[in-house]
Order: sequence, then structure tokens, then C-alpha cells
Amino acid sequence: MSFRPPPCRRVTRSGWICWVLLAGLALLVADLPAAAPSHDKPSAKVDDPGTDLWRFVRRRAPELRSLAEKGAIGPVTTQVKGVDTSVLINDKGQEWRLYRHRMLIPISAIVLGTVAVLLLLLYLAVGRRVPDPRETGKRLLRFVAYERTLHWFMAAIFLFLGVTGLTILYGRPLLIPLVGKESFSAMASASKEGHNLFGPLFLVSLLLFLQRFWRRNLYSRGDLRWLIRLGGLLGGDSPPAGFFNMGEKMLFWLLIAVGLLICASGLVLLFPNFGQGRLLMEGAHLIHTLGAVLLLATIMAHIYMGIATKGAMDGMKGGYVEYSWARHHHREWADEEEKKGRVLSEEEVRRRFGEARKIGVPEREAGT
Amino acid sequence: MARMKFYCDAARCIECNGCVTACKNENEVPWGINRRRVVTIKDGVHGERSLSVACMHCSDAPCAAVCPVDCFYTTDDGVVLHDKDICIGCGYCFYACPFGAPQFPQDGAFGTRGKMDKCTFCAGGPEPDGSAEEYRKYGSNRLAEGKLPLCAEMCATKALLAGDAGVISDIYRKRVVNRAAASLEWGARLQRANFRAPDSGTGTETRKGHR
Ligand code: HEM
Ligand code: SF4
Ligand code: SF4
Repeated sequence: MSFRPPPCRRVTRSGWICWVLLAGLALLVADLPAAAPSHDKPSAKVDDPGTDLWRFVRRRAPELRSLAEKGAIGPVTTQVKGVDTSVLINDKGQEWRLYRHRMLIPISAIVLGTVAVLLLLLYLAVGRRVPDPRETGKRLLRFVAYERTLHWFMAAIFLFLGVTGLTILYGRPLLIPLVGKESFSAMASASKEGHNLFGPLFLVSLLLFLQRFWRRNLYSRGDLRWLIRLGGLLGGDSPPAGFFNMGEKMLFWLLIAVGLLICASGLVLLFPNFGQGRLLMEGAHLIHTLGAVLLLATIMAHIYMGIATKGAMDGMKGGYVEYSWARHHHREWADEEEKKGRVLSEEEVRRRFGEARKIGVPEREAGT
Repeated sequence: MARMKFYCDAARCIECNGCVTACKNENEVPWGINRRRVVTIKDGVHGERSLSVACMHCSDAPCAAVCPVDCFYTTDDGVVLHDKDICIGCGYCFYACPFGAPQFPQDGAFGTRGKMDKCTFCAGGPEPDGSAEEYRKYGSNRLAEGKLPLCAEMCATKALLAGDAGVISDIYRKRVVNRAAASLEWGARLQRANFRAPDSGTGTETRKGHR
């Protein structure tokens, strides 16, 4: 399209008139605020003080809040004792409900479902990865009985909390159509009581876990290299790693951090008798559920790794791992153990399992 | 069919808490709970107003939408009721409700929530009308007897109105028209001025002509 600019001209007479009118208008506008606030002359700017009142009721407008803080418009009170009884309108309730129903329920279903399906497909496609099939017949002690118990204690509680929590979350759309309201009410009630009872135990297991494993999960040299090569996922040999590789360390700290957040927010929800308000509890619910979904997705991947990596489960089952597995996945740790002369033969391991209790071999060595 | 509503006239409520007491007594409301409460805004300053609130029996009720066990139902009269046999006491309706209507008795150790209790518009619950079971769980069912909620019936200033939405909004509309007419000589601003601090003086002047 072609566009011709208008010819440049000197200001015409009509142009001058326009300018004068504009200037007059500007003066008028500048003068308006001075005239507006008068209550005797009705003008366009008289606002309805009733609006002020209802805004105050909703505690929405910041200027009203600042007035209230100055004590200029007095407090909101009630004689009825209880949580938030002096709050007339709970204007965050709607936002919280929309979060739960428009975001949490659909998005968590998509996230958890997608992760589960992808991992299942991966498992079906790749199967159990057997990077180094050589059975050397040699064993290394990886986790002592206390550590294994702690792990499965936490795993059981975690899965229980996940299942009971998700029952409350998805029950209405998924389970009520199947079992009816009466049966689902019983399930949901049991889920609530169970969740409330075992929640604090998760905190206990988390703290014991932290105490036992934090040192082995500190960053050490070579971890970054492991991470850059994604633990050998990009091909080539597994990069060397210590007792835990960088992936495991990241899982550990994620579990601790998010787990503590879930526990803290869970405890806020658990004890309504301390009189905490709805706003705090809605916020706690938000953190609790986001954290729970994040951890559930992460733990699904963790379970996949445990099952798909051949030999990995041995350490959490009996405590001993195959030497070649250790060399492949945790070379630095395996070499160190070898230097200390801790590589055992299969028969030796079997003998220890048998005799441990009888002769009271120190736990760390026996691993029973 | 009727659509039952409460309306509280802020210009009339004198914060006597009669409605709270009437409700508590009529429905044998569980210990530690009030289904209704009177909230006073701008307490102690000019423009102070009180409002009696309980469940507003929302047409599109957030509590019913959020309940994980789906225990709410709306009667033909537009009253929002719930089934205590199904409620698990999760508290989500309390988070979602705009008016703080759902209440919870403390149940068992650590103050965990028992089954939710709230205003029933004096319409009982899912049990047969007027049964002892219904009374024990939800309080009285005055609606089934052709009576309106006791809170509104007892209200001395008739600030709290209960009944069909069309009827009570007509009553309120007439009040508003009368008040506006009464303050015509002062200009319509007097109607409004009752809500705000006076421009000068004590404010008694601006109250004249009101009601
Ligand atoms: C210290 C640990 C925990 C505590 C104290 C705790 C407590 C709670 C409480 C009080 C609720 C509210 C539901 C109700 O009142 O019935 C809740 C909901 C929930 N929790 Fe936990 N919980 C903990 C750990 C976990 C963990 C580890 C997970 C996941 C693996 C989880 C997942 C959920 C889910 C999905 C909900 C349902 C939210 C909804 O329906 O909107 N929680 N939790
Ligand atoms: S409990 Fe609250 S959300 Fe439910 S109907 Fe009553 S006022 Fe509405
Ligand atoms: S407390 Fe009862 S009525 Fe309220 S949302 Fe939970 S289950 Fe539903």
C-alpha cells in the first residue's frame, strides 16, 4: 500500500481555532479536581459511601486497610468465639477452590498419569537394563539392617499417605460413580483418619533418614561430571561415582526439602484446634498438595530405577550387592571397599547371614 | 417453588445477638458451636453497622462444589443441606464458603474436626421430617411445620428476614424507597451519609430523616 504524507503547511485559521479550544479544555480539566469533592453540588465524582462500607467488609481496598490500621474506621468484631468469626466475607475461599478444582485435580492427574505411562512404556521398551551381566560371585555390603528398615518404613508410609491423600483428592470424580456415596464416605473417612495418623510418622522417618544419610549425600568431586553425562544415559560407560551418584543425591535433598515442606504444611492442616485462620490453611493446603504431587512423580521415577536397573534392588533387599554392579554404578566406592578388603565371597555372605545373630558379629559387618 | 433466602438489613440490626441465641436453643446446636453470628463493622466509630450471618443457602454453593464426598444437596425450597452420615469432617467446605458458615465440633484427640454442622434454614436433614433422628443430628425442622427459621422470627427489629427471595426482596425494596423518601428534603446524600463519617459536627444531624 502506498501512503502519501499530507503536504507540510503553515497553520491555518481553523487550525488556530482548534488549538485555542484544546487549550481551553486543558484548563477546564486541570480545574476539575478542585470542584469535585464538594458534597453540596452533586457532581460526577460523588462516590457511594455504601461502597466504602462493603469494600471494608471484604477488606479488599488497600486504602481502607491502611485506614483501619490507623484506627480511623474501627475494627470488625463479633461476640461469637471461633476461627475467623469476625471475618464477614472470606474472599480467598473461591480462589482456593478454583485452585483445587481447576488446577490441582486436572493437572496432577495429567502429571502423575503421564509420568506413570511414560515409565511403563520405557520399561516395556527397554526392559531391565543389564549393563554388566558378569556375575563375579563377589559381594559388597551396601546397606545395614537399620538402613534398610528405615528405607522401607519410609517407603510404606509414603505410599500409604500418597494413596490416602489421592483418595480424598480424586474420590469424588473417580470412586463415587463406581462404589456410591455411602461406601466412598467410609473409604474417605478411613483415608482421612489414616492420613492424619501416619502423617507425623512420615516426619519422623524423614528426620531419621536425614540423620543417617546426609553425610553420604554431600557433594563430592566428580558429581558434576556425572550429572553432565546424565549418569551414562547419553551413551558410553557409566561415569564414576561414590557411594551415591549425583542423581541419588539430588533425589535425597529434594525428598528432604519438599518432604519437610509437606510435613510442615500438613501439621498446619492437622491441628485446627490452634485457631489458625482459613487463609493460612488454604496456603498450607496449596503447598502440601503441590509438594505431594512433585514427590509422588519423583518417587515413581525412583521406583522405576530401582526395578529397571538390575542388581540395584539387592542392596535394599538383603544389604549386599554384586561386585560388578558396584564397579559399574559406583566405581569409586567399590574401589575403596576393595582397598579396605571388604569384598566378600558369596559363601562368606551366606555364612554371615546364618551366624550373625548367634555370635553377635557387629552389625555393620554382618548386615543382617 | 420457593427459593429461600436470608436477608439482614444493616440499617436495622442492633447487634442484640437474639438470632444467635434463638438458633442455638431451637436446634440444640453442638457444644462450642454457633450456626449464626453477628459481625459488627466499623465497631465504635461513626457508620458502625452490624450484620447477622449464617449459611446464605447459595444458589450455586461453593461448599457443595468442593466437598470431596459430595454430601450436600439443595432442597426444592432452595435450602442447602448436608448429610452428616456421609461427611468426613475434612473442613474443605469451611475453606471454600464465602460466609464462614460450616462449623466443626472438636472430635477425639488433638482437636480434629468432627462432622460439619451448619445452618439448615430450620429445615432439618435427609432423615424423615420431624423424626427424632433428624432432630438429634440437625436440629428442628420448622419448614416442614410451615414455619420460618426462628432467628428471623425472633428478630426484634425485623432486621433479619427469612423467606422466599421474592417476598423478602420486596419488603427490603419498600424499606429502601421509604428511607429515600424520608431523606428527600435533605437530598439523597443523607441516605448515603449514614455510612460515613460526617463532614462536620457529631453526625446526629445527618441521621435525621433516616428510617
Ligand atoms: C507429615 C506428613 C503429612 C501430614 C501431617 C499430612 C496431613 C494432611 C492433612 C491434614 C490433609 C488434609 C486432608 C484431611 O484433613 O483429611 C492432607 C491432605 C493430603 N495429603 Fe497429606 N500429610 C502428610 C504427608 C503427605 C504425603 C507424604 C503425601 C503424598 C505422598 C500427602 C498427600 C496428600 C494429599 C494428596 C492430600 C489431599 C488434598 C486434597 O484432597 O485436596 N500427604 N494431608
Ligand atoms: S455453607 Fe457457605 S457456601 Fe455453602 S450454601 Fe451456605 S453460605 Fe453458601
Ligand atoms: S467437612 Fe464434610 S461437608 Fe464439609 S467438605 Fe468435608 S466432607 Fe464435605
